Amino acid sequence: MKRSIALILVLAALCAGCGKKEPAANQQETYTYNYALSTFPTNWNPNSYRTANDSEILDYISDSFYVFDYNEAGTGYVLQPGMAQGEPIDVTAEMAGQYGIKAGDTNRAYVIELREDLRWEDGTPITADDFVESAKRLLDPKAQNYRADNFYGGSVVIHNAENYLKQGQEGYPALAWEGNVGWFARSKYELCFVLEHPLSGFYLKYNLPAHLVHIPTYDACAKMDNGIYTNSYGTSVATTKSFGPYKLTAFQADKQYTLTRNEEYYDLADNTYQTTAIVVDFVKEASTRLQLFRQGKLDTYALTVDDTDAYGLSDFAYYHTGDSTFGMTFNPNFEALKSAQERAGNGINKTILTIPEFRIAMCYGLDRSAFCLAASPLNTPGFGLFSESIIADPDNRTPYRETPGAKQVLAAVWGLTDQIGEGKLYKDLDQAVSSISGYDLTRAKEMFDIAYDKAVEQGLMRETDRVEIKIGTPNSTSAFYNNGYEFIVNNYTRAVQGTKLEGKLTFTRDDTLGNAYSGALKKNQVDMLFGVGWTGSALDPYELMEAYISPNYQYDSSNDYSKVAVTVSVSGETYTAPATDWLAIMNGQSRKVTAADGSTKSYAAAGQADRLAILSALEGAVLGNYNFIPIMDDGEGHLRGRQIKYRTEDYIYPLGYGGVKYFRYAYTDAQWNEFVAKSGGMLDYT
Amino acid sequence: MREINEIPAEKFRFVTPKPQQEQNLPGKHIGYFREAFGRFRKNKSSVVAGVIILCLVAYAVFVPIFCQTSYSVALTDTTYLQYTKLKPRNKLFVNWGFWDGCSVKTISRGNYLYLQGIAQETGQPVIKKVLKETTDTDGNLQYKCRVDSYLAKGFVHMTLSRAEYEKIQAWEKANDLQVIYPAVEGQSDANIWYKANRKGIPQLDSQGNYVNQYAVDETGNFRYAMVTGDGSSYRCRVFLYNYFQYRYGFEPSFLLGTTGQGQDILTRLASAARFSLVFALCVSAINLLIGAVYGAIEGYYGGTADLLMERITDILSRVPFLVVATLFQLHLAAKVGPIVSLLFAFVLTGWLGIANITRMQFYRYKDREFVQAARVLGAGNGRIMFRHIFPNALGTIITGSVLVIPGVIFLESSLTYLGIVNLDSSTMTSVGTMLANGRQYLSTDPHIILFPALFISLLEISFNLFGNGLRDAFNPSLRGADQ
Amino acid sequence: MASYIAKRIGFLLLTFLIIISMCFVFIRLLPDDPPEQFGKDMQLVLQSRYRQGLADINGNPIPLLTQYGNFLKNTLLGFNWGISEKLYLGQDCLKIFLEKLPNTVLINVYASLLAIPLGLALGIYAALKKNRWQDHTISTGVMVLVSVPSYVYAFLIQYFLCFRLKLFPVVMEAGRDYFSPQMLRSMIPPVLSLSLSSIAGYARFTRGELTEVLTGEFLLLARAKGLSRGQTTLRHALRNAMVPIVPSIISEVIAVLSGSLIIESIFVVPGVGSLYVSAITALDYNFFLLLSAFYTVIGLTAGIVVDLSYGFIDPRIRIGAKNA
Repeated sequence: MKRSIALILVLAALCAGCGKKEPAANQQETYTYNYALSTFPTNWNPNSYRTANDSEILDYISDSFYVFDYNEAGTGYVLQPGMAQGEPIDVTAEMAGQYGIKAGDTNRAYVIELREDLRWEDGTPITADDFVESAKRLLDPKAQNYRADNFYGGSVVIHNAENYLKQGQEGYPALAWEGNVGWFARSKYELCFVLEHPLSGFYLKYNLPAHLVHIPTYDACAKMDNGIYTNSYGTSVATTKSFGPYKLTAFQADKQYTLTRNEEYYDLADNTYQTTAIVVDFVKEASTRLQLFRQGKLDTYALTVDDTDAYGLSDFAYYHTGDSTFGMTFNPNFEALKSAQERAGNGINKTILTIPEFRIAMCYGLDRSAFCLAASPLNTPGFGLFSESIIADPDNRTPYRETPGAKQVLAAVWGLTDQIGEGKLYKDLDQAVSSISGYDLTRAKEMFDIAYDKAVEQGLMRETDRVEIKIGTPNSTSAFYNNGYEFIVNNYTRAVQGTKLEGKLTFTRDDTLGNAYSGALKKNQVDMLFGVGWTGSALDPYELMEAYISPNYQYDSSNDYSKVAVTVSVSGETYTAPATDWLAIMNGQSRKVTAADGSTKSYAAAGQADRLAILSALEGAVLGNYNFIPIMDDGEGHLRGRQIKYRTEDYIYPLGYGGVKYFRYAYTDAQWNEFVAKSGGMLDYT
Repeated sequence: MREINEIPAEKFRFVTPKPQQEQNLPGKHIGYFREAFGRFRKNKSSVVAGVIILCLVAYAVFVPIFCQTSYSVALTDTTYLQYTKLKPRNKLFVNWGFWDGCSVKTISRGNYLYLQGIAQETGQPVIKKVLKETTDTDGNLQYKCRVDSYLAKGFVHMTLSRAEYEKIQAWEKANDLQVIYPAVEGQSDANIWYKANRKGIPQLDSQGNYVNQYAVDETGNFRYAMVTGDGSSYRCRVFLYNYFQYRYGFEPSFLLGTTGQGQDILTRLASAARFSLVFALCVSAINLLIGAVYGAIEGYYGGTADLLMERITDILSRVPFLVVATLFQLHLAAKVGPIVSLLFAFVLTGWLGIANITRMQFYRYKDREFVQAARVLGAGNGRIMFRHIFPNALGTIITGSVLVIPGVIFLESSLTYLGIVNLDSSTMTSVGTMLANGRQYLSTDPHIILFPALFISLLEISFNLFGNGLRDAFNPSLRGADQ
Repeated sequence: MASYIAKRIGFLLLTFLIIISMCFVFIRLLPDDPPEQFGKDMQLVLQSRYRQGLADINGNPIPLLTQYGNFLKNTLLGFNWGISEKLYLGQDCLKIFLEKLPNTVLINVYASLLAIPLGLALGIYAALKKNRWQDHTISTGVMVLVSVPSYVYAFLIQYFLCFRLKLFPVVMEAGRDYFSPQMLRSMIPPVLSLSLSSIAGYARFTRGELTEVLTGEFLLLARAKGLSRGQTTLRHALRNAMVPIVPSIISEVIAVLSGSLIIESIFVVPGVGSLYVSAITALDYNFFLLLSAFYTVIGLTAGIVVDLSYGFIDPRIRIGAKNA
């Protein structure tokens, strides 16, 4: 179950919509789940898909070695074998001397025993060899697949995978797969893999990539034209083969696709997968989706900003906090800002952004709860890098935000450490943390004044200059970015009133950046972005931290975290090391650290407690830099139609409300159509 | 042959002793434009259209000037307060059952109790009247009632600095209106001050009363402010209706309601109208200028020049407008702003029509006797073109330019609707954007889309009628051919 | 005749070449920075540039002129419009385009089939009843329909006819079974929205032309010969009025193809109009070029067809007869 970190935009949340209820062709009872998307999948090739929309289909047609399911009480999740039979078997000792494994290494080589009843939708059995062949195609050097880094990015690093992919490039000699790449079949149903860095337990199973393509189909789809390799696998019904619970049976681009139950799937049982077909429509306008929902032509509908009045209190409404945090981020690169301000004309200043006090003022000067109300009311104000649904200890399901370390970080970042204790403002840490609103106009105004004075003093800005910050947004049609931009402009115009920057803080907007807008900061096209964040690893914040610290992921790469020293108390000792080194340590590697007395030693994280301590310290370091400023944690709400029933009324990450696997139907499709007709063709969900 | 350089004046004499008096034509002389105006005046629908255009222009010009309340000026606050989707309201009609900011809604019992909760706390009639009790699909109780959209917004949480907090308290005393209500702990929805279930539906006690959940301090008094941050700010529950009065000094009342973003439709539509009209006029004027000169040269010189210039217009006229607009938007919008780039796009192919009309008119007149006479008298090409031919063609050309205006507004609204061009910001907007933004409220708050739709329809109809009237007036032979 | 047509087609090709070259140059002059791929290797980014023909396999930029040459070679000779880099990652633009074309064409053909007879009939009726109440009613209706933006009645049709009264589906039916009863029924709302303004346009034009012809002296002669009013109108007036009407219909039918962008997005018609809008929002340049070429060709063809149609409809016009 590979959870790669994915960039997330607040562009269009998953939207539920419509579909028609086909009258049953035979007498068998059908149960169709209909919903609609506002952006449609275009490419669900597991090797090269790009967006979350694409994985919308992939989720149904593929499977993992280990999958989440409810625990016995139905109150939480367990990670249990899916395509695998039982836990991974550690074979490191047997493999010593091969694949770079040294004697004494632990947790580096594993064998997964596959289920013997795995089959493609057409009934062809799946063996360990299929996984090996699929991996070879993923890492094919001439294809340069987008998802190739599933095998070497993050915490699961397959031995030699990167070298195989990059062979032929500078510094990478030719490499044969057999005997070199740590991903091979030991027998028909035994898949063996070798890791570069030791990993075990939950995170191994959680992050292990289950990568499978139907080899004959995939090879038939490959095309080499003019030296350009393209592969059309996963773009139509004919080029798609499923090994998951559903198979793709119809696809019309930008209109509709249908998935029907894959009867070859091993996990079908009487009480699961009652849904016989899933019909997904493309409907861009939320108001149209709502109309279809009310006509009973869809089973779920994602609530928008404008529905909360009417449907907020509905019995059919479900809300939950998502796992991403959105923030704003600035360009602190002095040279780039300087050339941008010269281009912008005389009397314009941008370099004030390099002054930390200015960014602190921006942080305290934003009224987060009002921002959420204006731009996206289902979201809640966010004050840290990780929202409440991020789990720090997956075995005990402890949310990161509830650990003492995480609370102390928040208190420290928001300047409350001194206010806690008997006779002070807050009697304990909990009270202090829950009081944070992230909005302190008095403080912001002070900071604006200091920043202005500093800028003038350092000669960055003349007294007659006007600060102009260019904000990048992907387009001009998204309500979130339109409302959010307006709000930010208005908010800061007010915030600088009565300071030396009054009337001198202005904003412009570039809304032509398209979906790649989040890269605009790196390219110095804009000075600021908002509504940006990361998602994908709610159960593994340690890996997610990479998004904020590694230059590969950072929105702004001129912020060099290898130069930021972070001090962490681990196992009773206090060590200092650059943030990037701590990141590596946290993710299982060993790095040199400096102790309080100046001595250095090589250090590797010992256990969960150490990793947690490092994580909190790194969060503090990122937040203390005031370059990525959290604004809000995402929240979602939707309406459930009367035809379906969920397994649980509470949202349990990562199972949600039970998903398609546990949907139960109150009506067959035929009964449902009758029911809708009897209700006058229009259903009430208020 | 003897050359006569100068004939002395005394050699001339009059044929008749007295020069003949030029005879005045009987009746009043009527000039071309005057005559056209006379004809125009007789066309009643065009006159009415002209008056409507004047009214719309007056609306666009004067409303932003005279109706500037601090609310519409401080556009900052529109998105800030979230005073969105308010229904049209005129204070004079508050008790008349219409134009009173209320709407008829069918709401569930939970929703009813929720709104009554606001009513009970503030003492304001949030639900004006229950019209009917019905049941929904599942047999649950529903209420059909008139809900006051201004009051139903209820409360919001606000983080106030100490100074502002004290200012509000002073204002409350002076005006006898309550803005800040007792705080409730651990509740994200500011409207809830009572015991409620997870979704926010009030849980009444056995007597059917709300059970209050106000935060109390050590001495048992309600707390009005929760300390946040380092103690310099307070988090308060603020009643929007009264807070609005505190902030702007008048009771909220919007003649045409507010949009989904909380902007006053009356002033916003006016500024959109102003933009659309000014923009269309600019396009029309620039097109007139370029087109007239180009067409005049083509038509006057004819021959090779005409042939070459015609080929250029041929090619230009085949460039799809959509493509031009998009390319300009991609290239220029970031540099000169979307408006200028849109203007360029309209002008690039827009003048072709006028050029064509002018060219035709020039062909028609250039060999007429009065032109030949002027040429014989030694008038230069420029003088002939612009002093002699052009005035004759003017009527037709002006009509062409006027008829361009509705087309420009129409296209501009389509482009903004599609999102190819973005003209929306806190200070300006276009009618197309307002239509696009209002569309999602068609079922719940139709007034948001109704007024822009009415405006653009009226404007288009009037301009078309007005333009047709002008054409008939200038060119009576075409009269009624194309109404 | 043949040489005239050849000349026209030659000019058409020239115009097309000029326009598409302009589009190409303008598009390629835009910053061609590859989109930032967070956490990805630079190699991937280079691949994307390479696939778009912006750089060679080693990442060196290709000069614009060479790019242009390659573009002409691929598109005009090979009819290869390249692959989509943003919207439909790695897929052939032309294939996607052709997949979507039938929807747009059908909607527009149906709209014309509805609009032409209705529009002509209304126009003729109004002309015959000139300045009577029937004429005034039709003229007013026409004026309203022409002036109100078509998407405004699309909203109304969708909300009232489809949602409230449930006469038609709210969005178009999925599938490629274009002539099934459900599909036809679901096409009615977009067709209706598209054709309302066309109906008004035809009615206005027909009425205008017919009233002008009706004042002609030859009609007086026809009446004097003893023909009835109906006979004169149908045999003489209408025939003459058709000379300008028919070309206008042809150009309208072809031009309408490019006018359904908004309608397509409202009723979720998976056609080329909505594709154009998404190509712009996603900045998918290959799609943009292909669709620009499509709209240009439509415009050019309309022009030629109209010119040629004059010769067939009106015997007085002889095309290219100068040399004969």
